[in-house]
Amino acid sequence: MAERSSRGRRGSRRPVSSAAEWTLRIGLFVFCAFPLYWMLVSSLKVSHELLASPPTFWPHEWDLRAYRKLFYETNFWKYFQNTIVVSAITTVIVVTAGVIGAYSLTRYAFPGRTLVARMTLLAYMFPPIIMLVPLFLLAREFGLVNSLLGLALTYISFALPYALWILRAFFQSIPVELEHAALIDGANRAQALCYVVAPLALPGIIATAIFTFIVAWNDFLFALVLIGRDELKTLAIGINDFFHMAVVDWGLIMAASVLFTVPVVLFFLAVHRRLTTGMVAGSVTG
Amino acid sequence: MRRWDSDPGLRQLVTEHRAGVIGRREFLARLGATTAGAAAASLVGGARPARAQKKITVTMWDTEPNPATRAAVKAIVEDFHKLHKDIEIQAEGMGWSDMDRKLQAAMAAKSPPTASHTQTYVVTSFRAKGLIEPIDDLVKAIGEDRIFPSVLRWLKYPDGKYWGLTHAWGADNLGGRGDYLAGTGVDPRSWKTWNDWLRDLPKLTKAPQYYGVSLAGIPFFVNEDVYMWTGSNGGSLFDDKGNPALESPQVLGMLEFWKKVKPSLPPGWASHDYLETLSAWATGKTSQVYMWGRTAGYIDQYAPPDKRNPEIFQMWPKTIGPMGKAPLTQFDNEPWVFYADAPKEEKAAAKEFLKFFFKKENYRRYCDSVPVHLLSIFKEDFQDPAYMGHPERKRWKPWLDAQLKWVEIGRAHPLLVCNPQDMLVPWIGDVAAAPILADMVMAVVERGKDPKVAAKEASDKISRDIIGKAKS
Amino acid sequence: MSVRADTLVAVPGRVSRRRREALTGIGLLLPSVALVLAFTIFPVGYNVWLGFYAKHSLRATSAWVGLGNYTQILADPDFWRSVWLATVYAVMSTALQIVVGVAGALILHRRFAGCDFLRGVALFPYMIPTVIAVFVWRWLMNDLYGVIPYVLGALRIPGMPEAWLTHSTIMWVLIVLSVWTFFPFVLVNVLARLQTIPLELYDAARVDGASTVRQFVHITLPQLRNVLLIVLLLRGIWMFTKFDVPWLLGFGGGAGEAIRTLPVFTYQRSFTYYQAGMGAALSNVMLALLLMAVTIYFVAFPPEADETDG
Repeated sequence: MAERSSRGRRGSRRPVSSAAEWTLRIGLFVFCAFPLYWMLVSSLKVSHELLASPPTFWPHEWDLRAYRKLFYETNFWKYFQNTIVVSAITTVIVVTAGVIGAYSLTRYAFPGRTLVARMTLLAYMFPPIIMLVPLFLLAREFGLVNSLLGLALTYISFALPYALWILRAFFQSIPVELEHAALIDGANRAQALCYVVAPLALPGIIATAIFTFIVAWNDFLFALVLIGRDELKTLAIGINDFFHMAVVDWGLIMAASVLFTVPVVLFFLAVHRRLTTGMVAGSVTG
Repeated sequence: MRRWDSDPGLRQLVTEHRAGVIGRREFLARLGATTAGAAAASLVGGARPARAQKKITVTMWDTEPNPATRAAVKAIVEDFHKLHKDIEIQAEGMGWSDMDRKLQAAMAAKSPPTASHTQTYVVTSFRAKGLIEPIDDLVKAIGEDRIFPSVLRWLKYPDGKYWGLTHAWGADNLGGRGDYLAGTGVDPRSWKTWNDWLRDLPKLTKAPQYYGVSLAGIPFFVNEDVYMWTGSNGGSLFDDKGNPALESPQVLGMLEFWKKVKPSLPPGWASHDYLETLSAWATGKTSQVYMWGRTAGYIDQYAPPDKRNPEIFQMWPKTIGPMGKAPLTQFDNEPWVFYADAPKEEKAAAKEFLKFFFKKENYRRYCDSVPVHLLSIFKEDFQDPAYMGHPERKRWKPWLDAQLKWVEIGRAHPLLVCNPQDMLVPWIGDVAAAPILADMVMAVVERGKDPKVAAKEASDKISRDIIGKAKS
Repeated sequence: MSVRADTLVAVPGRVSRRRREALTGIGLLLPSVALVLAFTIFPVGYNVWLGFYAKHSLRATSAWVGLGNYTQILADPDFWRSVWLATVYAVMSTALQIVVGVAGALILHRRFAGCDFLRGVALFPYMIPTVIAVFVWRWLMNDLYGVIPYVLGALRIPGMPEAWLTHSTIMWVLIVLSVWTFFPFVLVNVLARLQTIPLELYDAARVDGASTVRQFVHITLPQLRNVLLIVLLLRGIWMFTKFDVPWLLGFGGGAGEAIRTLPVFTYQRSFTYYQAGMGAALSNVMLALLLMAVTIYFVAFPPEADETDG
């Protein structure tokens, strides 16, 4: 079995200069993080400094007012919980169904499989806003209005085509010999999938999980129409309401946004290690 | 916690699933219908669970989502529930554009809410399409004589009936920074005509520290200035048949006027939202703004602490164009409307709730949630020391007085209604929502198009795309 | 030595065994496909049907107009303008998303001090809800309070516009904002694929004396081909149909008239003009345009070519 190469060893052999690489890294960091920085800092400013002109990069006065208001005067925490529930359900189901479906598409021959894969692309060719009314009609028919499960089903249907596509690409690149080896050793198809194929496609699975989670986490339109009761609202709707208050409190919105995104980022900081420590192919026993 | 098999719908589902009659996905799909349906009566008023309802569930949508008002509404609803154990009120607050979308989805599914707020100009359209019904009984129960005539006049249609009931009112005013007058020699109280205002605008502009006036550039709010200025120029957007009258001298005069205002506007005005104009004024980036009572909240939030008073944030007079006789302002009086397709007993229950809502002690709580913005519909409240004694109302008394004055002289009209008869134009709501008028203004003011050409294009679009469709 | 994936199934022998395998394959896929089709076929069908009618969004009745909506659409210069704007937006933002995404993936591919942290941060723009992202950018670019015009002004770069959110420049703001928000999608997918490229390929190339650039062009890019093609297709479709970003930036009018792309135009017809039939017809036209583009795409990049393992 070929040895797993250490990236550090490889990195030190790169001929590109460190300074240029570091410049790029810092550039990427600033490009991505500056608006986050602005959100964070704005959430901690005193209200009348928020719209100061010229703008202040560092608050003159610090204030946790926005966070206090968020937790004591709004239903933010409930919205947070609802969103976690819906997103988790959606992600688990999409990843499971996606892995199974992609496996089927790449390891089984049956008529029309390419056609089916392409047809599911159809859903992406309408702007979701236009699907609003027919989806609402559909949801009402099945009694899915005002239920987090109904919302999850909508997100699942939106994320599945992408999941099938991307996982199919990953599965295709995994050599069939690996499963042969496992099957010869006495494993059944399911075990081959779980223990051989899926781990190799783990980066793709993680990419799917990220995409699906975000679809569910961030969606606004469908939650708007499918959820009416305040205690079932998701974060996106809850935050949207903040934009329609009699007096829009920018600090509050920024505080909500920070709390909305930072935990998700932290979660994926942990999870995405799996994205990058995929095992190197080349572990086929001779 | 109740046992799962006490819910017959759920019990049957599980039986069917176990027997293999339905698959896993259908089981899951219909699961929502049982537990969700039994636990929470469908908010959209349709798909009722099979079991008999002990309670009448009423769905009411309003356009005040801010936390203080929600809390007030929640408290009133809870008190109502104590008195009426057989009624459940589900009151939701959301912005108008969200409600617009939800209404369209709900109407398509033929399950409107029981009642909702709406914009005044929308009442005409809804009424013409048979979507709502008159509520004379409710208005009379609450006390027709107690309500400002200026509020009621816009709710009464030629058939003599009231088709809506305003929840609270407000009038638009021109706000100006008193502290920016120093050293300029400008006296706003002397303003009568547009020329007076245009003469003094540059003196109130000191770019880039601050600009003369903030205007909102996005379509919905551009419409406000379009009709207020046209009305102040003695004109109207519609002729007596309801066709667009955009090529009239009064409207063209309004466009010319706008061109002259442009140098005093912030350079990015064409993308500014209405709320941005308010915070611009509160933070001193502009000298003037067209504003409503809620601006007081913006001042408290964003203005420097030492400036939060009506001596700095003053009310200045609106002016008339060369062809106008009296200035026109916008009247905000979103009414409750009742949907024809909602079940009768729900509507009756909703009316009971509103009667309770408009009782003095309850309504006072509601109005106090945004004291200078949600103004009471009852004349007597403005003589009531308890009402007028509220600290916010006392602090911003000049603002209240300015709004009351408009109501007295009767020159506060709903959106797009320059002449009172415009209220009856069947497609006024559609024109208000479409971006046609805003496109016309932008073409003239931002891209230098000839007003006559722009007005003609806009007229043609309205005739073809709105009126033409409306008649099909 | 490559083996077609489905030869796994070609177990020599009985036809019924092969049929059973095929049925298993279908069975595994069926629930997913059924769900997706249910949520797809009905809305698509509904829109196709509705496109033949004139229907006010709030009225229950509708009137048959046949192809009337379509003839009106095709004769409307505003429609063609919105198609043009949508195309410009989709092409520019997709291209830049891919460039920035691939660049970002390459930067993050190596391990270095703080690379995990940077990987999380790089994902951040994608994770913010669109509403927040657009409002933060509106605020950052605001002519009165925006920190970016302030910094640009302080740097005294000649030719900078006074305000960014005006007719002439708002499209650029939209593109940059969209690239910022969505490039992590490209980055994540490309990075995932980069991590599974066997290192032996690079070692062998280095032994042969290939430079970094040649390694990239001859090893990395071909390995990335599949992923990039999918990403290109999906992002292209999604940017063309993107409604909420141009809407929240421009609100369909004012300066936003310059970013009234086809989805915004469609939305306005359907929801603000209350013309549901016309809105449905417009979305059918959008669907037709995309189907044409996708067909061309599948002809240019036939998927069969990527069945083989590298």
